[in-house]
Amino acid sequence: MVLLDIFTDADFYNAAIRLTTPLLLAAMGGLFSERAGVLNLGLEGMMLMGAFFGYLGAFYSHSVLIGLVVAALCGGLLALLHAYLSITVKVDQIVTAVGLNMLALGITSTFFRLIFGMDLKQLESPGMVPVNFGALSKIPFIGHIFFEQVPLVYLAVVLVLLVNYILYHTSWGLSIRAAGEHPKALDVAGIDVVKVRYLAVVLSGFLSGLGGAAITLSGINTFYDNITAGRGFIAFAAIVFGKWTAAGTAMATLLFGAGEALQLRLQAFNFQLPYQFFLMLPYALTLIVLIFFMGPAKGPAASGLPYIKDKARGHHRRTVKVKQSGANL
Amino acid sequence: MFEGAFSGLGNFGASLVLAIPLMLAGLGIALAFRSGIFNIGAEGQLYLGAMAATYFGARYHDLPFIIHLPLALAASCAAGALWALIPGYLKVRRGFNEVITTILLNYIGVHFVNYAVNSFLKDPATYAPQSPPVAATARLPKLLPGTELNAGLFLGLLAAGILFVIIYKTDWGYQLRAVGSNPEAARTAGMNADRTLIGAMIVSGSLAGLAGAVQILGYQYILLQDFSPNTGYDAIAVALLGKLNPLGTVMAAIFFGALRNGANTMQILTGIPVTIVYVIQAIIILCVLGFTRLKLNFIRFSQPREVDF
Repeated sequence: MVLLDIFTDADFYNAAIRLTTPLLLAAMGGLFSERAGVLNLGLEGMMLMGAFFGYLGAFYSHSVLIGLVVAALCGGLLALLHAYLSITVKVDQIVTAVGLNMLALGITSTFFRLIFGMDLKQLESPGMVPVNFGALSKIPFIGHIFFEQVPLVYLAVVLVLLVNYILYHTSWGLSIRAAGEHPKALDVAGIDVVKVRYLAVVLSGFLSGLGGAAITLSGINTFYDNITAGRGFIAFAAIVFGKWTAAGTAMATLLFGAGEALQLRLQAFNFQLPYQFFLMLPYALTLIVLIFFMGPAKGPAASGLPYIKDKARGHHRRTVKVKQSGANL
Repeated sequence: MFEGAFSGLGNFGASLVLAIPLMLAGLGIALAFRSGIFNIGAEGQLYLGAMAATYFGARYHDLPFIIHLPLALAASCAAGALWALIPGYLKVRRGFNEVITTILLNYIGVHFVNYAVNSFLKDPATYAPQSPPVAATARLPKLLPGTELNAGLFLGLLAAGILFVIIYKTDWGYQLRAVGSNPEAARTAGMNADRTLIGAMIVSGSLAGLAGAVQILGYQYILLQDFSPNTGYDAIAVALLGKLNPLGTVMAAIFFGALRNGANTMQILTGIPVTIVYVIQAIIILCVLGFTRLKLNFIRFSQPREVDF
């Protein structure tokens, strides 16, 4: 029984966790942005920026750490643009994201070709190596799953706890949540909504950039066009599955990570099914889970809405709109 | 780049050829946007449309032209519409956000078509993953001798004309715009917003499917793996640049076709990668967004949007 072989193999779980990490990092970033009221479908582009420039940084500096820093910064840069367009210029956040994702695809593919030319020599950058936990890694089964992962994996796990703590137990987290639920109230309380949102979006860019680098720098250590292949969108979907909570989102990303690990193994086992069906699996799984296991869930009330400060008293147009969104459907 | 795009009849024809799929898919997206449903699924719909057109185009060989070509085109419309109906249904009946569902369906659709050219649609005469060529009776006729320009251009212009009439001159078009700009008010006024949205998705998917078909029946004649990367996404840019207006979308598609054709020439001449087009397109989208914000605000864009599933 091939399936049983897969599920009793520690390697499968190890891979599932490894493949969850990029999604988890991006999703945690996206959670900040969502909670602060900025819909961030640009996660995909930010991951792609991180994936390419992280690889490039590590390739030229011969240092993975520098690669990761570059990845975070480049993701953050694209996020800053997203923040500027959707918060300051107040254009539609979904359309902005479509543009930014295309920009990221163009920038990364073009630079990749300009730098490495058309011949597809697989030039490897240095990559992350698994953390050495000594004796812990020697524990049968468990050791390989939990104690032979690259550092970013542990960072991602810690991040889930951290994000949960920040969102619910700090005043900054309260500001973020308020910016997404009721920006007007936050404004009245004397906190700058724009600043809170900017920070949240840029943070999502940092984390997505790291998520992208987690794809390129943890094993394959190379890059190809559109390497993120929609993982940013899956991360976004995970936030929705997780009902905008850190723990729920983490569980959802784990499901997709496992789907991807399963897909890779099923391919390797040379099943009678054509490999394209396995490539479909993570996306199909996401869709199926969505259709059959998710009821409609409500996101932050003001997500997707630009905040416009009322200049004159008694000018209630915008407040009415925010209220509408809560009652909508 | 400019030279490659416009100089000479051949080059201009080539630009127009590339513009046709963008035009059709862009028109579909524009219509969907108008009704307030964000169809990012043109890519998948286009692939399935191309697959259906190839299936009917390459399978039959003794049908008369007058039946064969319309059959293949109709099949592509049906396939695209069916693929668009899934997110449409999920949005209307279950309240799922169409952005995520359409994107997921894009990946599923593209992989499925790639499977098709490796299996039931594969040309047994070759080892390469490609379909057999489409029969001559299912091909779109060439318009100008010496260029690749084909009758797909008429389809694009016809679709634009019909959409213009639909959007601005019919009751349904009025409902569509009303639902798009303020769903609550449209409901209060007694309009059936759900039916309007489903209708918009069907038309939108059909046009995207047709966009796939013209690419196969117009000049490629065989279906290849990953035959049309990103056309469905580029069409979003086309629709936006055309300000969701049929005439504007046609102009934008021609502009983008020229951009792609010019970039191809540029890559050959100067070695600047053709992917630079994405950068240019993205900058255009973002600039157009910035400049036309107020205009777009009338079309739901600053409206309260639900992010729930």
